[in-house]
Amino acid sequence: MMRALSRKEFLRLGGAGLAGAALLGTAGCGGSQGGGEVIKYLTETPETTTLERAAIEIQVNRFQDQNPKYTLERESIAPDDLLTVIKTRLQSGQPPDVFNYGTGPGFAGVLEDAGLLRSLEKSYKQNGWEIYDWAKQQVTYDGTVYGVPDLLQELIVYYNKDLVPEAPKTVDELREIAKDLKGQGKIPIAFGDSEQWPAGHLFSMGASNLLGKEGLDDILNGDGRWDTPEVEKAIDLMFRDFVESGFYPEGVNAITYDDANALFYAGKAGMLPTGTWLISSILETVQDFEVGFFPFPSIDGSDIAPAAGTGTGLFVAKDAKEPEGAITFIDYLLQDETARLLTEELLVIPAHPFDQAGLDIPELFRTVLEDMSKATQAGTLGYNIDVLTPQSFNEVMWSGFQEVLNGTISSGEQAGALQDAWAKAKKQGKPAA
Amino acid sequence: MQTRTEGAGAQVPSQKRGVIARFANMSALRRQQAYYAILFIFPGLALYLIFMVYPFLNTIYLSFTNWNGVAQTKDWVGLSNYARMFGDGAVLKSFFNNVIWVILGTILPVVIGLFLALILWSGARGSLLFRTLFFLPFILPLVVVGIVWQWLYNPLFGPLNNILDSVGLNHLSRGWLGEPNTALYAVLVAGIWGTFGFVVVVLLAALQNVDVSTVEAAMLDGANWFQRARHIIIPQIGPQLTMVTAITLIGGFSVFDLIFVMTGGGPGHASEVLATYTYKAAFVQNQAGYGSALAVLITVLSFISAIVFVRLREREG
Repeated sequence: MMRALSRKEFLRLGGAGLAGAALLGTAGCGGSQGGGEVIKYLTETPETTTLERAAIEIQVNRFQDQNPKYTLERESIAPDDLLTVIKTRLQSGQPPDVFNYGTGPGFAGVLEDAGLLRSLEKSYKQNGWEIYDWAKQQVTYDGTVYGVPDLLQELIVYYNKDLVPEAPKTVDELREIAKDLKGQGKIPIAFGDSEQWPAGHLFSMGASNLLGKEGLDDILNGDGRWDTPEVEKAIDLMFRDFVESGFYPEGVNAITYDDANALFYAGKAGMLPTGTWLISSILETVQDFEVGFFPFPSIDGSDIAPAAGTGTGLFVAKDAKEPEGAITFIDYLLQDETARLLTEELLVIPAHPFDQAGLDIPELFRTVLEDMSKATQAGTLGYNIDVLTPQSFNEVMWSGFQEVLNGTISSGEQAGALQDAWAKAKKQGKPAA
Repeated sequence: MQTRTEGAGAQVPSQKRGVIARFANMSALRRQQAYYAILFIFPGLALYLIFMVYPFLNTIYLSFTNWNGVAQTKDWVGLSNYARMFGDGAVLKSFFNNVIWVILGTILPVVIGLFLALILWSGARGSLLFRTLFFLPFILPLVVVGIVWQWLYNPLFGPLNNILDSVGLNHLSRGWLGEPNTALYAVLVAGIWGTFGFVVVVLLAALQNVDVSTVEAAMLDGANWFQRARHIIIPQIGPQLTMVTAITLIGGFSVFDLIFVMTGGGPGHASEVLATYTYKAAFVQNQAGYGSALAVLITVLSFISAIVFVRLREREG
């Protein structure tokens, strides 16, 4: 028979219980329980929930296991929301210690201008971080490195291997394939520009091939101009020629990026021009056919310079409460073993060299990775333009491409508008990264 | 002379003191009532000053600077943001789109709402059901309205194009939100759908106070439905009609959410309005100074249009 506890006994036993619980807690019984020093990490939500779970496992649990003195508070928000939230958060007095953000002058460059970022020059030297030079340049403002590009992205064209027998090497071959697809009642190229930015990717593909890396460098960092026949040709091919040929779905300006992707997933469209970030979604969604990819083919004998850029970079807030923890976290992400895990689980391409031998990754991603490595080593990569240019220029570029798609303005007029916007941006001291 | 001087001297300080003097001369009861009035008004007034007046004054100040929304420094640029507006083609386009929105987006919901309210008031069957149905779109957040209509207009699987195709009007099928000639009007239809229910409910409530005997007298005199509505009923619900029209009118210059969700102002700037362009300037292009100048422009336009409308109604009344 149980006897009733006196008040004194209750307090004694209760106190012992609490002390025991506290001891268990500090001992870190749960594998992912962190320590006392809190690192706040703000990042973009990945494409799928599977990726989100994998990201939490690698970025939070594994990090805390290896660094028991830290607790990593990871907050993920939609990429568009990050754009509007970050400025306020960094000035709020409670900023994230470390965060992901766009690397161009219209993104992190603006934050650096406002003195909201911490220089990472010392951290690079102390930790021996090796980032690809061209990627590092994109987080270097006024000669100082402020960020760590964490992943690379390439703009490519996915294709349905059941509908497209072989990847085209030239635009003429692409035209033949597209005409054949139309004859079968299929949409040749799944493209929707309701959000405006998808057109920027198509333009980057065309301009990279026609101008090459050097030509784009000349415009972005030298005295080159946008109102040239090559640029006009890139605009005309992507936004007039292909529209008039009926290669895109009807009402292209009213079709969202997701709807265009869905056309490809459903086998209603033969090709899908977008970025390597979509690989995981494709692998998760497409079950009925095999998917291949090709960099946008040669335009009238031009070289092929696959458009690429850094996805986002990692930055440390100037007023970070835990700057050392933030550096420890970045260093953890750059370790070889973490890079391999991120590549295998999140299907991303780290922006630094790492041991790729024996990676357990799907075939489609393996070919993308190999292609990207080859192009990086050969120095033939072009540029994903809108991550390098200021937002005032991007706005003119995106809205103008919609007007070219509608036939409201000509390709020449749009090339002129780009040049005007570029001249204004340069005058305001906003050169490309 | 001395008395006059003294008298005058006694009046001047009391005029100067104004409110304080009046307060001092009040009876104890009136003074207590005034204390309570101030006490009750103060929280609301404080909130209004902090969250409305201060930000508005700050916006006016920012409109004279070149602040990028993040930097510590805000350089004074005088009127250059305002001068820039006049040379900015997108502002002009947005302004005209706003005018179209104000005209059609005010007239159509009010006319449709008034018509439906009159039908329901005249004793149509299922009045309660229809009143509820008409009001439903109004209680939906505009973002939801935008998403619903975006789906209806979808060129790939939207019901609107499917219906047109199935009745042989496939030449009319199109990407409604992606073509410059239809985008603004397609969004406007969604806006009208989301607004007219409010007009119906307000006017239906107002119609309950209409003197039925005057309507019956007009009917006996041979006035038809339109004449009764025009000359007997509408004048009696004038204040409420003015109120709903003014609310819809002012909303026309600050319309944002529907356009932002459905077209983002595109294609190009075909459905751009001042509010969406302001958002882009201030928060996307990092031109908070210019965005503030645009915000001031929207406020001024809303203010002017509301005053002009109310004055016109008063004159008519």
